[in-house]
Amino acid sequence: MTALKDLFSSLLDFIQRLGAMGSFLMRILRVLPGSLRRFDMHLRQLWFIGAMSLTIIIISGLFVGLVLGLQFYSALNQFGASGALGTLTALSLYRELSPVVAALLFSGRAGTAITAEIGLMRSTQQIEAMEMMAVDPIRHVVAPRFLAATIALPLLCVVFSALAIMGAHWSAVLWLGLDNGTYWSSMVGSVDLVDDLLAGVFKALVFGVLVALIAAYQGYHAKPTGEGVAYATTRTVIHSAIAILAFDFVLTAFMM
Amino acid sequence: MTDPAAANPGSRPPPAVAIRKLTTQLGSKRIFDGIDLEVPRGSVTAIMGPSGTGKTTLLRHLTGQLAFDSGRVTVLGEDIGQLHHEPLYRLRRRMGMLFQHGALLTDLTVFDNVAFPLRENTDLPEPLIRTLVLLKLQSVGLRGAAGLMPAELSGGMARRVALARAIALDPELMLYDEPFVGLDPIAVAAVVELIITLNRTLGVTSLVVAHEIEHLRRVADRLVVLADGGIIADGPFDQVQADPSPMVQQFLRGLSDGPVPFHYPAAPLTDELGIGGAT
Amino acid sequence: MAANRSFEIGTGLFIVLGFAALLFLATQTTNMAGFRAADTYELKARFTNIGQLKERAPVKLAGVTIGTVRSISLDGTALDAVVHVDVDSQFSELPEDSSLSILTSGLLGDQFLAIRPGGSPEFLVDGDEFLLTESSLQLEELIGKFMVGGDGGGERGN
Ligand SMILES: Nc1ncnc2c1ncn2[C@@H]1O[C@H](COP(=O)(O)OP(=O)(O)O)[C@@H](O)[C@H]1O
Ligand SMILES: [Mg+2]
Repeated sequence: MTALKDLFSSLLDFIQRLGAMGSFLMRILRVLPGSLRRFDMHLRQLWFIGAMSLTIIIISGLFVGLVLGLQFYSALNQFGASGALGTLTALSLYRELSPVVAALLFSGRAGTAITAEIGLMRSTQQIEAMEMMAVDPIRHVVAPRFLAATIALPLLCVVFSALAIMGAHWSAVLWLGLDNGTYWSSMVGSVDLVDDLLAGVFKALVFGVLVALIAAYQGYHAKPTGEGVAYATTRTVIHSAIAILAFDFVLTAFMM
Repeated sequence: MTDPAAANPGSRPPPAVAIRKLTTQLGSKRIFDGIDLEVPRGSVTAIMGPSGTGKTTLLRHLTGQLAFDSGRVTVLGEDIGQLHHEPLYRLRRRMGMLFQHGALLTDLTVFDNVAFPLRENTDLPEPLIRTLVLLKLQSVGLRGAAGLMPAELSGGMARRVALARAIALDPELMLYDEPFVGLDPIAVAAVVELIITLNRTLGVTSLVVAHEIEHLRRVADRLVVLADGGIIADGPFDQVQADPSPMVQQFLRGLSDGPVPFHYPAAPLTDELGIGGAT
Repeated sequence: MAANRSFEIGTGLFIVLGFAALLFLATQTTNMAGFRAADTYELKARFTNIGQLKERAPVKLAGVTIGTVRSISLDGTALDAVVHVDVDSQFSELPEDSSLSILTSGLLGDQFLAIRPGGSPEFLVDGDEFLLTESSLQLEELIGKFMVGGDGGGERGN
């Protein structure tokens, strides 16, 4: 009986949190067009949020590709189907691995930075100071980071894919001796630009919105203490991971 | 102004701040229990009170950053409880606040910090903004620090830059939250001078929250003591200091024990340690 | 504002890198690398069974892709599948008696069309039909043939 009640109240909590996030998103979207007039702020954030995440995306993409090349080759070779390696690599990357892995890495690299930065501004009263100077912190602090993260993740996802394709080429073609022409032509034959590649980029766009929203929300509502900010940063990673995987399922189900 | 209580007898101008029957509950704690306070235009009012009585909370009510439960708060002729979004921001442009820790924007230089409210709220051309910023910095003695980042400033310098920023839009009402804490005597003297100058030369109405009675005596002409959710003393300094109420006396003289007990409420020590009993 | 400028350059490079990666993937690893309407001519062919052949499947000659499947439809009266293919105009000298077959890449791979050139001096032109076609080989039928010992698979055209 109490277990049921607990479940009910935590469900209610969850729905309330969802509602709070929704209205936070509305606040961001309302001020976003106005904030575009200060485009330099957005560029700056795109640099910190996007370009600074490149290193981890490039390295991870390369290694994921190298591993996929090895694994798929040994698995496919058992059926004499190593000719399908390119197809399999490209499809699994474009449709699932790149958007999801890039988003998870991004939440760890850029999401936490957004939360910590906004949380620190909250705890050092910078947010309040802005409000007092008649500047809406949502417009000035949150919106540029939100937009930058939304733009950055699809770009990072594509970079991840490109590096992984090269990584798989490296291990399957250069090391294990798969035919180079087979590798590329098998992709050309069965990977669709819109249904596979761009569909994955669209997923990354959705994940970018999710990570940006969660990270900004956690930072903005962090308890104004060091502990509060640390706690909020952890929550950003956890909530982002759950949201990414859950939305991945929903999007995949809809797009199939 | 239709509220008869707010309409002053005689021809005095309406007050800068008028608080009526303000009550506030934060969490389980009743911070204010129906307080009334009026601050005339052009005056400097000092507010004292034990930590945690709600002095910062009171300032946050005046700026509209925190909602109260009941009562009515009028600031510069505007009913704060009724203001949202743009009208509230318009009112805030007429107010300045010096935060307890300066609250400079850490990713901007000193110059850009002071220029921030000007750039965000006005369409002034850049050369004019430059002139204004340098003048404001000059008035706090830090024109030479214009190119520094906030992390490179000492506590006193940061507070003075924050003050320059707070007055950038020439506010009618200034709120100071513990402006003297953590400053060396020279920086304190500088801040005291600035508060006085702003009031005397520009007629800025000021509310100063602080604990240092000797500094407050120099800048303010009226002292309000908050405690236990209400105002326990209000008047000129000499009158308040002569107040016979034991609570006021304990606070002003800095006695550790009195009506405000030194001990947080607890069971008798002997009980808790399991000793003594019936002696 | 030198710092500002380097931010802008760096950010610009980041965006360019992203789009360059997208361009690389789109042109090298997707069907965008195939053919588009601009410089192709259309041929058609009839099959009794197209198996798993799909639109946009490659059309190969001697292993080299020279075209793609544009559309697949069913002829309601003749009751066979009509496949329209776009062939690169560069390869406009396909002999009239060339044949078209549906093959599978590897054991489990996707199906594609293979052109086997004939010897006629006349060439196929836009709108022509391949007269010789070979339908998709059905794995089940093959297995069935083996099990029953030769003739279990039913009739197959051509
Ligand atoms: N957002 C809040 N929620 C709950 N309690 C709060 C909140 N803000 C302040 N308080 C509590 O209100 C009381 C008054 O705080 P404050 O106004 O900062 O006191 P001070 O007089 O020291 O400036 C304190 O006990 C504080 O813990
Ligand atoms: Mg305080």
